[in-house]
Amino acid sequence: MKKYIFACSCCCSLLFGYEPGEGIELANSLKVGGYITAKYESGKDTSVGMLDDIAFIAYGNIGSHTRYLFEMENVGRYSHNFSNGKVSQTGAFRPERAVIDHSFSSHLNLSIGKMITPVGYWNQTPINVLRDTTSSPLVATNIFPKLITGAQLYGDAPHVEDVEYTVAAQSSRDLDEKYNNFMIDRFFGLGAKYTINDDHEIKAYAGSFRERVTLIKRNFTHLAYKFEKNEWQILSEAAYSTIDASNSKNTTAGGGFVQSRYKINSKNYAIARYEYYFDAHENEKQHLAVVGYNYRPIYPVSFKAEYQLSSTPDRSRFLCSISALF
Amino acid sequence: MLYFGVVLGFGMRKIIFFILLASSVFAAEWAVVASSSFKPNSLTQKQIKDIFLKKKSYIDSQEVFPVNLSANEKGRMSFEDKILSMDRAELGGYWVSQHYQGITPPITQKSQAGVKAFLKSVKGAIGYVEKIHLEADMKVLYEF
Repeated sequence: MKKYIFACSCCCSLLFGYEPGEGIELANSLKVGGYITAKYESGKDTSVGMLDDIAFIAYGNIGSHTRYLFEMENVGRYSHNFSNGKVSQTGAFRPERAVIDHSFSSHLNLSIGKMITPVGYWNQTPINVLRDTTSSPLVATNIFPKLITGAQLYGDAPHVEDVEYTVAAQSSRDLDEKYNNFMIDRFFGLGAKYTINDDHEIKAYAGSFRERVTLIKRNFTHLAYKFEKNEWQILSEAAYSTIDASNSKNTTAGGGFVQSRYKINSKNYAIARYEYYFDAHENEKQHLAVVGYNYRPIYPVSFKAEYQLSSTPDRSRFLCSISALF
Repeated sequence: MLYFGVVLGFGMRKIIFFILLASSVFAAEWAVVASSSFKPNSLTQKQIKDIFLKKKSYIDSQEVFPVNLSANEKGRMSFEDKILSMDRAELGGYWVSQHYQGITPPITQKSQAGVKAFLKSVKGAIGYVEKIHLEADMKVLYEF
């Protein structure tokens, strides 16, 4: 495998000056790349292998202050359930991100389009190859929409050193809601990041959104902390959400996770994570312990394996994946 | 007496020689520079790190454009070690994750002459050169 990856890298380097994982520059203002993921999941009643993610991204600059990014993604391209022999496929590539970003100053930047919701750390790198584990913590996927279609203002907070702010809003349907975790038509949120020093950062976010079909309103608050020094990274996020369903009683959801990652060397990482999640609306409560291993022969290629031990025994499972960014 | 004078003189010369040698080894040999029209008069190591990792594109009201030496040029490793505090593997991983965000690494120049030419032609450009290559129209922002 190493030889194959090395040979591919050499060919691309010779043809395009390509560096693995950094895309190909087709023109001065156009760079293209993408990513791919295959994964296998085995639980109590299920055993599924899938070509999960194929995506292409294109980005570049329009002048010195403006840049654009466009991403087309195909989720669940091919799935084989080994338990019942069922095979499913989807052929559609859909817009995952389509955003134009303009910089007015260090204090004021504007993003317009479909973009990643600027909440926490986990949600900022939502693709398998850049994550530490195949699975995502429940609190990072079930509390707020991972994508919004609207506008975001962000930058350095004026007169306050090491603090960045973000304000985001949406007041229309999603550009394409198929791959979003919530179908929303309203969103408003504001947040701040404080860089304590080179090793420590904290983030806080508060937001509100409305689900388009059910008209359920959710308000959420989110806190995140990241520590990174030498071989260690500690990542922790916590969120709490109130769910205002007009036709039934109001409920809440929330939880958190703490994850530690130890870099054994530049290619091998060990991961341990504890999660807690509850959703009164869905009558769900779960504790999860996750242990995982991530092998990167080169950084943009990742082989991962993990085991999730759940307090709900039916949900304990094994996951592994191969992913690459190109 | 003459003997002691010779010994002392020789010893002193050795000491001076070692002091000079040590100062040449440990003294800052490289400088982070910009053109003389660059507004800030100095930068902190963290500010330079943020600029070269493309986390910041402005310092105060000054828009900045970082320029790197090629990966195999001398000075680049020293810059990555002393200013960015990252090894090659870490830096590679960082730029891979930035590729997903649509952010590219700073442009590179093959030589210090190329860096100096870039500084002259691009307003707000910031690079690094050996101190012996400093020119009168350059502003030294940091030494390492």
